[in-house]
Amino acid sequence: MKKKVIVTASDFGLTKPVNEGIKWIIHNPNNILTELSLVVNAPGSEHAAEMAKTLNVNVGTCFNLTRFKPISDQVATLTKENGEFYKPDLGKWDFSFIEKFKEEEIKRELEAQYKWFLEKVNKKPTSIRFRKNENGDPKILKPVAEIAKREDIAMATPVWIWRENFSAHNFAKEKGVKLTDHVIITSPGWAHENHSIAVDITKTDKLVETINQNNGISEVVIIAGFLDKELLEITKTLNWQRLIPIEVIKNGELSSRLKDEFELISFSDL
Amino acid sequence: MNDDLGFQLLLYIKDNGAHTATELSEVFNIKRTTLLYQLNFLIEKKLVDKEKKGREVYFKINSLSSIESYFRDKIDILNSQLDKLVLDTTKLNRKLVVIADDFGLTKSISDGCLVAYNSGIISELALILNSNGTKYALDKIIEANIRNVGLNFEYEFANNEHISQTEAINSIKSGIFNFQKDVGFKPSSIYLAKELYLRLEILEEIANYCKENSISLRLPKIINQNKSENYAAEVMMNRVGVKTTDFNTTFEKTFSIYKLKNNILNILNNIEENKSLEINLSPGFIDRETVELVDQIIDRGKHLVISIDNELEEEIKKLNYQIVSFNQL
Repeated sequence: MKKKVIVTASDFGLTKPVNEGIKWIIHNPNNILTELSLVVNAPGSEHAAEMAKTLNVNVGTCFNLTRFKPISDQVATLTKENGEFYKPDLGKWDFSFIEKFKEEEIKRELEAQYKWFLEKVNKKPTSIRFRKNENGDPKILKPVAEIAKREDIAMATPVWIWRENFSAHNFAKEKGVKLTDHVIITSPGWAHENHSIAVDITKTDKLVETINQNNGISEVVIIAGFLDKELLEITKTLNWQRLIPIEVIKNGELSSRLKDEFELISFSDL
Repeated sequence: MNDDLGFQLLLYIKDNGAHTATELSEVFNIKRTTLLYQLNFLIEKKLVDKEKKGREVYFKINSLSSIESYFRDKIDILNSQLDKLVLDTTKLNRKLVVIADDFGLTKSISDGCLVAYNSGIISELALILNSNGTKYALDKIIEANIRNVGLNFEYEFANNEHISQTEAINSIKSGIFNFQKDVGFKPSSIYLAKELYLRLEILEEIANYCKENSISLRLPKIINQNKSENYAAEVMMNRVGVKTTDFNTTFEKTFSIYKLKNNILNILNNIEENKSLEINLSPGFIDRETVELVDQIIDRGKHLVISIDNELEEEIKKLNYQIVSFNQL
């Protein structure tokens, strides 16, 4: 029996051109995406929500407590003075600002983000994840696991610093939340020995080998999009790199390998 | 010291003798606090002294020699600063033309080129003729009155190595003519296709034409950094005397932006003083049209990012390069 693999495009909603790039993949004959993860509070979120209504693909929600502005009011401990969420220093993987978060404010904001998705996309998300894997931290993991369980929605496997996060994974599993067994991030720049879950998307053999080595179901996360000025202003570390999956899809080799060797499923199949 | 006010105060006291602060503030029509700030500065520099007479404090010149000594020291400092500035200017004797090579290929590539030109290190745009974004790029040139625009004929002659000399020359001349008709000025440079750089008779005629019309002719691109692959073309262009850079370069493919930047800086570091170098980059935004029409989309995104990298620009300047257009060569 073929191994099951979910292929997710993350950051759907980040900007309009990112959305357009993801849409281009979906409409390409080499498409392998089975799931989109819609960021609810980004500059392109409304555009993505509209798009989500017409695309024939599962759309999950990407909660976000580390960039842009909250959706709810009265969540002062989650934000800086300017009203925006604290932005982690990913170089040092510094998320120490989470210590300041009040638990009731985390819950309030997560519920608001969930409600936003229901209203804008007009259906339940098929999965829940976080933009920077904030759900790898127990303080965030607990309330989000509650929502996932309550709404019977799968949650992306919580990781941390692009490494497995076994106790978080186990916690969600024990709470009865549906999860994949492994997650693989495919941004080439992150693929080095310290990041055990990162594989360079251009290394087809390595990616296929990693999925085969994993027990159970793997999720392959793709970070794709077109490039415009707004994206350059939003992110210094993941802008032109989003073109790599576009070129990989255009080339077709990875698509045919994944389609031939695995069963591509979505979170709603878990 | 507020040079003007401080100097005027000093001059007034020298010419008119000791005065109280009240008198001086009336003469100069300034607030007492501003005046006292200036007077205290003059006292600290030993240019002015104060003397108490009864209840009044008078401000008077310290001594002419101390004034002379103060200003002579100041002149020495200014001279030394001027020397440094002049030396630094003369050190800026390597010139770098940074070209955005596919301006006009598509709309989104053109937009990326313009961002890199307006807020990055790109100093020259090389327009592709007869492409999807050409009309759009021409409109942008007119709208923003951009003068540093050359023509890139690379796509015009691609895989057309057997074109006749007359046909090739006419095609280039008509490209230049039409460009001038559209925007109102001649292109600053032209780049030919490799198929034409290999044809010395064609190249010579075009080089002469460019020389007569004050248009720079870009050097043929090199593939291997370690050897000149087109010596005959380069030496012929040199003999004709057409304006061009002394060197040009292209970059080997590398994933890392860091390595790419280092690659550029290493090349720049090895160029001799008083020489000029051309770097060609292919910056561009990427949208659906571009993905479907053109290749190397990743490199285009990467080139855009390094084109607007402030740190790279600073490093280039530290290496005593002036970033110029072909018009400024």
